[in-house]
Amino acid sequence: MKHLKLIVSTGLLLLVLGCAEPGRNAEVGTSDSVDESVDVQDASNDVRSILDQAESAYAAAKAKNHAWVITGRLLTSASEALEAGNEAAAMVEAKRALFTAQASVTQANKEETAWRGRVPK
Amino acid sequence: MKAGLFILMFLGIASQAVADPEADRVAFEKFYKERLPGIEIAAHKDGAYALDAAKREQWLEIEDFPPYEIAVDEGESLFSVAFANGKSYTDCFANGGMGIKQTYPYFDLDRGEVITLELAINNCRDANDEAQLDYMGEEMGNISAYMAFTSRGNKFDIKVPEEAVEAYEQGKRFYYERRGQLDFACSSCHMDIVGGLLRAEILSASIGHATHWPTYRFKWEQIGGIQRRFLQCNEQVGAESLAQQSKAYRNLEYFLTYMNNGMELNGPASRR
Repeated sequence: MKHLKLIVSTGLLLLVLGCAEPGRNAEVGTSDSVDESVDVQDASNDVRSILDQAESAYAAAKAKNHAWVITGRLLTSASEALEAGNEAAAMVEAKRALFTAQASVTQANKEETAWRGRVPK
Repeated sequence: MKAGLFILMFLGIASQAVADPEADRVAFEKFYKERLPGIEIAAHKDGAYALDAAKREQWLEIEDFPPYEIAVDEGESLFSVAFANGKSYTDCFANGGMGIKQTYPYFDLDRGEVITLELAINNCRDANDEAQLDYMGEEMGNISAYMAFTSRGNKFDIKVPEEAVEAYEQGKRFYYERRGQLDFACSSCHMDIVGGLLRAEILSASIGHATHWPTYRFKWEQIGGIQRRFLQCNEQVGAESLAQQSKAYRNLEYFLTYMNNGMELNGPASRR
């Protein structure tokens, strides 16, 4: 019985040490640090890509006199957050900017013909 | 049968493409007569004050000591000052600039664009090597207030020659197009729910919208032109406003003023 308890305890200890191993490597090694910086760069690129799409849609709406005030504000706050290194906040604002910019383009396209239905006859 | 349908469709499309400003104006007037049957069309020159007796009473009391009076006096002084080259505003306008606002905006055939009174004032300054005035500034407001004052009682007589139809149509389209985050057109407030309330404000009819400019607005604490109001309306529905005297705003003013043809000018005025 005592042998059994010893075997189980040793096994559990090895298991815990084994699970902890990657963490210990991360603390002392260099490979995980490099991965983290790549992630940050990717996040920044993702935000930039969404911002570019939002700016493009915003310009299209503006050309048709259909830009929305909120889109301009969201683009500014997304850019500011990105510059400050706050990718998470930048992503939220950039996605909102893209959403409102696309909605304003949809509105402009719809209104190409829809306005005629409102003219009194 | 198919050929007949095709011809009918073609005629339908063609009739949509042919603009008839006078038919538009008649339909516009008819709309308000039917929507607000108790109000004479001529009464709409007073805007929302034609629609609510209590607000009208307050407004008439304000008009006993009109807040735009100083602007008219200062405008008269500014108007009479000679430019550096010895000429003055009187040299730029028909009838020396007196009593002419009822013909503005007009379509300039040579320039191929709509000319508003404010633009004409700055064009006059340009032609005489004077610096342009800020369209939202006090000096522009004062000069146009004086010119409007000398036109009081005259009736709008806006022309839309064949060459101007495109500009007119662009203005008409701007008026009826929904824009902004709230998805509102000018017609949403001033036709669809005219006479109703937005918060505590009664929505006025567009048929009197051009008569009383420039206007002293208590919100602005100064006198300003109709395009400043366009800017504010656009922003109120979450749309980005355009530059003062931009082509789009001039075309809108052209359309809207044509819709007011035959109405009496009573500017400058005061509004909340």
